[in-house]
Formats: sequence, structure tokens, C-alpha cells
Amino acid sequence: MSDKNLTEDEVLSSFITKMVDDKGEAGLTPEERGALETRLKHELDRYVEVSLIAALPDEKLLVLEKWLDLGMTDEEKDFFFEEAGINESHVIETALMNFRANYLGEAA
Amino acid sequence: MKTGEDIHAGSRGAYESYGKTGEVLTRDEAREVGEKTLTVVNQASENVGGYEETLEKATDRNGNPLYSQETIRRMVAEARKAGEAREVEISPVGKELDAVGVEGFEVTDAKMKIAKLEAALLLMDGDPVTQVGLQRRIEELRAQMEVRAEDLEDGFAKSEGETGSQGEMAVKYAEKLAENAGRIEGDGWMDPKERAQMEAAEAEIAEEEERQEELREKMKALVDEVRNERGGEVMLSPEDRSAVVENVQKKMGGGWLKGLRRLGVKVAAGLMVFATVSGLTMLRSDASSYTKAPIAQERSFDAMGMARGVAAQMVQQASGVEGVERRNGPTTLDVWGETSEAKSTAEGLSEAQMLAKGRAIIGAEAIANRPGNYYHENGVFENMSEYNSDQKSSLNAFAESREWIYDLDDVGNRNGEAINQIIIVCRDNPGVLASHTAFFPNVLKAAGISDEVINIKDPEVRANAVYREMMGENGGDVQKKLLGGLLTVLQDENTSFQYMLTNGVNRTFFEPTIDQGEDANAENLTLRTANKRRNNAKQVLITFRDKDENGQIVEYKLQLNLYCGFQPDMEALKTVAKKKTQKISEVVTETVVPEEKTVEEETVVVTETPTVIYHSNGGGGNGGGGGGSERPGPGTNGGTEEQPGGTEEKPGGEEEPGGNPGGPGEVEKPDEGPKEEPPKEETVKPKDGENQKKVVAEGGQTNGVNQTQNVEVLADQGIVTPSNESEVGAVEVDQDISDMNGTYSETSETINADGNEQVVGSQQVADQNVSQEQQREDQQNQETANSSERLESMTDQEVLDEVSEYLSQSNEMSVSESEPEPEAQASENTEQSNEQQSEERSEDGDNSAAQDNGNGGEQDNGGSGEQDSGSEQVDSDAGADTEATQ
Repeated sequence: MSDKNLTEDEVLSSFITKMVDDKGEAGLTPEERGALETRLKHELDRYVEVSLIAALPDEKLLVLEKWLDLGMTDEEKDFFFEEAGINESHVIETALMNFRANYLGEAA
Repeated sequence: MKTGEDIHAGSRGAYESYGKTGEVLTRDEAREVGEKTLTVVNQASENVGGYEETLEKATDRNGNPLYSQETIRRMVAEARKAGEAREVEISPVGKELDAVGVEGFEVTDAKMKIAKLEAALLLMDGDPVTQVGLQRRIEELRAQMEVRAEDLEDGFAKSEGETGSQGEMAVKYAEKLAENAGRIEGDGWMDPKERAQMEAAEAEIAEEEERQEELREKMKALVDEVRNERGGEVMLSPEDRSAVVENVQKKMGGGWLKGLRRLGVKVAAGLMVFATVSGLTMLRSDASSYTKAPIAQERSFDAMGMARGVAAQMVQQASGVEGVERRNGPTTLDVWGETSEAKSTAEGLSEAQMLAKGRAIIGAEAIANRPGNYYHENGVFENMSEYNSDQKSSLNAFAESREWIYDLDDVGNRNGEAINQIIIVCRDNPGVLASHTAFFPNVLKAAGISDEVINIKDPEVRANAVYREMMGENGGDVQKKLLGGLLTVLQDENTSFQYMLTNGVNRTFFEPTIDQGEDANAENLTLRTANKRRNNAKQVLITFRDKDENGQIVEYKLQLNLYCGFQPDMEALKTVAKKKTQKISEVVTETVVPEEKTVEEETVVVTETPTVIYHSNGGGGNGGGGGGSERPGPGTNGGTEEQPGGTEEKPGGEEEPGGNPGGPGEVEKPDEGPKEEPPKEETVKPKDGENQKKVVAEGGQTNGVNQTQNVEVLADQGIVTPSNESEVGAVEVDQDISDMNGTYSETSETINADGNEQVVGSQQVADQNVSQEQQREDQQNQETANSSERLESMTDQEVLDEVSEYLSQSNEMSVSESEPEPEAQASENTEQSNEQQSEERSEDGDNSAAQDNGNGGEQDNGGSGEQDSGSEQVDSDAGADTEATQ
């Protein structure tokens, strides 16, 4: 299946395009639709980020907050999440599903 | 033309390798040798394949092929090991190769084998650095192989002239291969440049590991600091947690993910896995997982999302997306004090984390403020809206049907939906939570459930014991821990979901109220089990692999029936064959149960699958009335085996546990009407024409034939009738009673006390004075026990045919009898009495008796096709016996 060769960005774009289609945003102009998809893409990125943070247990969340207060390099952030033991794939999958459900749920 | 001696000489090497020195290889033997050669090569390839997989895992780690010095060391060690293995394998291979040549196999075949050897060598490479050098060596090897192949192709005479014999050539050939393997093993072949490159990589890795160790120490200090600041309390309330998440996100800054190399790679990988696994079907086609899931949309905690505000969203995320806590690899510093958690999920189930998850799940629901939300004084949350829904598949089902999950496409996140829905039902209904977690002892243990409870063998007793602990002091925390633990298990990477259509008799949980007629709530519900026949029932089997208390990896299984809102199914309790023919009077003798008998004693007959601990099939024991529940009359089915009513097939293709010997009013039936029925007068209930049709269609009987006559007909002709089915159950439950002493001693107080008392008295008399009626009854039981075995082997159509035949016979008899015999008249009176009794029960909430069964409890009533009648009778028997013993 050619779809499997999509890049990361293309996956997200396809995801959002389908999501918008399913919501029935047919009345949008191409410009409006483009703007909507861009905004959704931005929100999805943020949603995934929040999901990763929210996947941390309480204690690790508190430690991360404290470390951020002290100043945290990207390397340290990387290390922190590496050690946190999050099941990233599951977080991503769930985040995408939730994002979609939430978006479609707004129309209901 | 080669002589025998030539062949002998040329094959010597091969003989030696197979211990056949001095013998001449025949062509067949040589072919066999050749095949063995292939086997050896293939095995080597497989071994190398495993090694390659290990290598890939190591190099893929974090997307950094040179991540770990330890990995490098391990790979070198494995390469050496592979070299040793190859040395062992190659020698006979080389010999056999030549032996094959001696026998005239095509040289091209030999070339293929050489190529296979080379492929094996190629796969036996080391880390990426050494791979380059190894590749070069392989090329050299290939050149040598080509020369050898050409030699072979040139013919035997030439080779023979050079080497003296084919055997010697084979030995040399093998020795060369072994030599090459030895060189690889000692990596003395690596040129200085490659070695320098490898050493640089190792140094880089060492440096990185050192840096990581520093970071780990820094993080450990921060952990200690946080713990000290908070006085050891590191749990956050849902509100606080939401605030912290938001705060952290702010501090991280937007788009931070893209700046993180490792995490970014992981996220991208996760995204790509999502796309690959789904084939983007979900993205490009109908998203069935959403459109088919009205309950999910309305009630899923995952679907709360944006509409309910950011705080709820955060909580939802915490509860919905958190992965299992796992350490990614060995570390020298135990930052979180949880190194042991890496070993297994069981050991990783920390009480604190479970509590946090449970809080998040219930907290999110609290924020949602859904109608029906209720907190008990001990903190237990419940929302019985769904349990009380008239949309349920049956009165005592756990929740509304979740069959739609079965119908979801695999790519539609079916497992995710299953997890969501299970958590929803368990969140709202503490009893369901108890029944599910009862199959995961590690969750129970981590939640602080006592070992005494965990060690209860029978799932029903165990589940009720868990339920009671949840409804006791600090039950709110227990509930949250169980909920969090269950979510952890369901989300664990070692948990698998198998969706299936189930047939046959299963023991299944159901959840009746203790006080019929009252609104259901967590305090007046109990868990019961009954045997029941499944007919293409849509189910999900959840298998969770984890360590048990002895450190052994075992599988814990939870088999859930989707139609009934995730009722756990188990293997049906079996009946001891010889007990099937016991008369009731004998049974009663054996059912005298010492009051001091413990639950454990009652469950000694439990059989468990040896390799499966806490499988839902694990309990073979008796129900035990909720394990000594303090609730009045939970009236369990008492470890029933083939329970009456439990074998009735639901028209829709599935059944509910229709039979329920534990109490007449607790029968769960698939097609019963709404739970709340208008009060009925104590009169004989008129026959319901539609219901009669339905009962007949299901293999039942509805006409009011002469009961006594029926028995005689049965005795004479052995015809199986619906009333037989009831009796089948009755007899079998009696067997339970005899097999499992004490089971129903705890079930004496059943839901429908009135009905029980009536039959109890009758039964007691019968027990003490074996009257003619009793003897007839015993005989009937005997016959029906026999017919039950036959019934089990019959198809539905066969049963229907026999019922039709029986009906016509009955009608003929009715016509021929102008005046009823006294006995028949008495039977009619009994029938009327039964119907009245049935309706009394129905007033207590026993819809099963009232709606489907005109003759509530008599074993030999001919007026009902519903098996429940039998089960009720058995309930009564149980109550009678118990009362007698008390």
C-alpha cells in the first residue's frame, strides 16, 4: 500500500484531512480549509506534546517541573523522557484518537 | 568412471563426520548426507537470524546505532559465539559438501550451498562498525568459494590429483572455512583503520554513558528534593495534576518535541507505526470505530476532551494515555527507587500509581458531573445509570451490550475501545470492577487486598470478597487502586486481546440485586455465577502475561462476554459423572454441611489449568454465597455445574444464565422484560400466547398437560421435554450440592424468600419421609439425568422435533381422558399453585419466573419450557437442605 510510505508530516496531514472531511466541512473555501488544517495541525502537535507530559506519573511530573524551573537543556529533556519509561507509541495513538474524537464531538 | 574405492576414499571425510568410517556411502546415503547438510546450514541461518534480530534491536535503540558500549560488547561476544558455532557447523558442512560432489550432484547445487554458507557468514556479523570489515572478509571468502566451485566443476580427476582424494579435499575445504571462522572470531582480520573507528565509537559511547550517569545523578537529587519538599507525598489531586501539566507544557514551550532528538524519533516512530498498522485505513475510510460506538461517544472518559475543558482534558489524558511504567534498560542509579519494576508489570504495579490512575479516571468523571454520579460514604464512586438501563441485554447483565466492539475493524483501535469500555463499566459499577480484577491477583495484591482473599480459589467467592473489601472502610481508595491497576494491566504491552465467537456451556458472572425491587446500587448488588450455553457469543479473551508470586511467567486470562456488558465467562463447572444418578434423598444426606466449614474447604474441588493461574476458568469450586458475605442472602448458585436454565439458547444467538439455583429471583434471563413490573395479584397467571409461541420455538412447552402423565410418558418413552431440561438442571445442581458441601449453606437466604420457603417446607418433608411422591420424583430425576446427557448431544432441531412429537402425544392423551384422574387433578392444582408461587416471586423481582414460565418451580411441570423453572426448584432444594441442616 502506497500509503505506508508517507512521511511523518504526510501522515499527520492525511489524518487531519480525513478528520475534517468526516466532520463535513464541505462548505469551506480552499483557503479556509487550508487555514483550518494548518491550525488543526498546530493544535495536534500541541496535543501530542501535552499527552506526553500528561502520561508522566505524578512524581515524575513534579520532578520535571522542578527541573524546568532550574533550567533544562534539550539533552536533559531528552534524557528525562528517556528515563520516564513512557510507552510513546501508545501515547501517540491514543492522542490521535482522542484528538479526532474531540474534534468530531464538537459537532455533535 | 569412479570406482567403489574412489567413492570410498572420497567420502571418508563425510563418513568420519557421521561416525561411519570404513563404510561406503550409497547414493541414497549421500543424498541423506546432503539433506543433513542443508539442515545444518538452515539451522545456522536461523541461529544467525536470531542474532540479527538482537542486533537490530540493539542498533535501533533510540535510533542510535552506537548507543551503548554495553551493546557493542554484547554484540562482539555474540559474534564470537557465532563464530564458535559456525566452526562447529562448518566442518561437517564442508565434508558433506564434497561427499555430495563425490556422488555426482550438480556443482551448481554445491554452489548454492556455498552461497548459503556465505549468507550465514554474512548474517553472523557484529556491530555496524565490524560489519564493514566483515563484509570485506566475506567477499574474500566468496572468491575462495568460487575457486572451490570451479575446482569441483573441473571434475574429479583434477581435484583428486591435487588433493589425493575427495575426502581430503573436503577436509581441507572445511578446515579453510574453520580457519576463516577462527579469524573472524578473533577479529584479527580487522584492519587498523576499522579498529580505530570501532574504538572511537566505543569511546563515544562510554562518554555518553558517563554523561547519562551524571544526568541520572542529577535527576536522583531532584527526586529526593521533591520528595523531601512534599514530605513523601507525591500524589497529586486531579486538579493539581491538571495545573502542573499545563504549567510544565508552558515551561517546555510550544514545539519542544521537535527539538528533542531521541523523544522526537520515538514519537515519529510511534506515528509511523500508527500509520503502518492502520494502513491509514482509519484516515481514509469510514472511521467505524467512532460511528459504531454510541456509548463510547457518550460515555467514554477518553471522549470527554475539549468540550469539557482543559482541566478535564488533562485528567482524561492522565487516565487514558499513560503507558506502563517501564525502565528502558539497566541503569547504574536507581533514580526512582523502582528498579525492580522493570522486571514485570506485576512488580511494577505500585499502589501509588494505581491510586493516581484510579483518581484520574474517577476524577474526570466527577468533573463531567454526569447524572447518576454518586459517592458512597467510604468514597466509592458509582453510577448505576447503565446497570439500571432498560437497554441491557438482560436484567442482571453488567451493562449494555458491547458487541459492537467485536464488529470493529482491527485497524479501528478495537483494543483501545475495548479497554475504554471495560474501564467505563468498571468505573461506574464497583461490582463489575471486583469481578474483573478478581482474575488478576497481582492487581489485587498491589491494591492491598488481603492474601486471604486473593487465595480464594473460586472466582465468584473471590470476586465477592473483593467487592466487600471495596465496600468496606476506605473502599474508595481500594476502588481507585483496582481501577488503576486494571487499566495498567489492560494497557500493558504483554496483554493481548482475542476476539472470538464462543459456543458451548460456560460459567458466567451476573449481578443481581440482593433486595429485588429496590433501586440497584453498589450496596445491594452482589456477584453470582451460573452455567450457561453460549451460541456464537461475541467475546473478548484478554490474556495478560506476567510473573506470579514465584517469579514464573504465567498467563492470566479474563474472558468477557460483550453482549452482557463484559460479564466474565469461565469454564463450566463439571459434574462428577457418578453423582448424576443420585437420588435427592441421598444427596440430602451428603449435603449436611458443618457450619464451621470454611470457604477454602468448600472449594477443594477446584481444578485449575496447570499452566494458567487465575484463568477465568480457574474456579471449579462452589459459589459459596459470596464467600460469606454479610449481605443477606446473596444466594449464589453454589458452584453449580450444569445449571438449569443455563442451557437455554437465546433466540438472538446468545444466552444469559437463565438458571439460577441460588435463588429464584436471581435468574438472569436474556429475554426477560423490563425489570420493574407492575404488582400482580396472587392469581393464576393467564398464558401469554406470544410467549408460548416463543417458548415452543425455543424448544419449550407451554400447554398445560397433565404433569403426572408427563412423568409417566417420560418414564416410558424417555422423551426429552423442556421440563426434562429443567430437571436436568435440578439433578445436576443436586450433584453440585453433594460434590461441594457447604456451597449453598451460605446461599440459604435467597432473594426471593417467599418462594424458597414454600418449597423448602415441601422439600424437608420429602427428605424426611420418602413418600411415593418423593420416590416418583427421584425416579424422575434419575430419568432426566439420563436424558440430560442425551440432550446435550442433541441439536436444537432434534430437541424441537422431540418436543413437537411430545406435544402431539400429550394432546392426544388430553383428548382421550374425559375425566381427569385424581392424580392428574392434584397435578393441576400443583401447577396452579406453582404459577401462583411464580408470580409471588415475580413480585419480588423475579421476572424470569413470571414472564417466561407459567409454572414457577415444580420439576415436573409440563407447562413451561423455560429451564428456569428447574433452576428455581433447585434453589428451593438448596434452601431446604440448608435450612434442615441448620
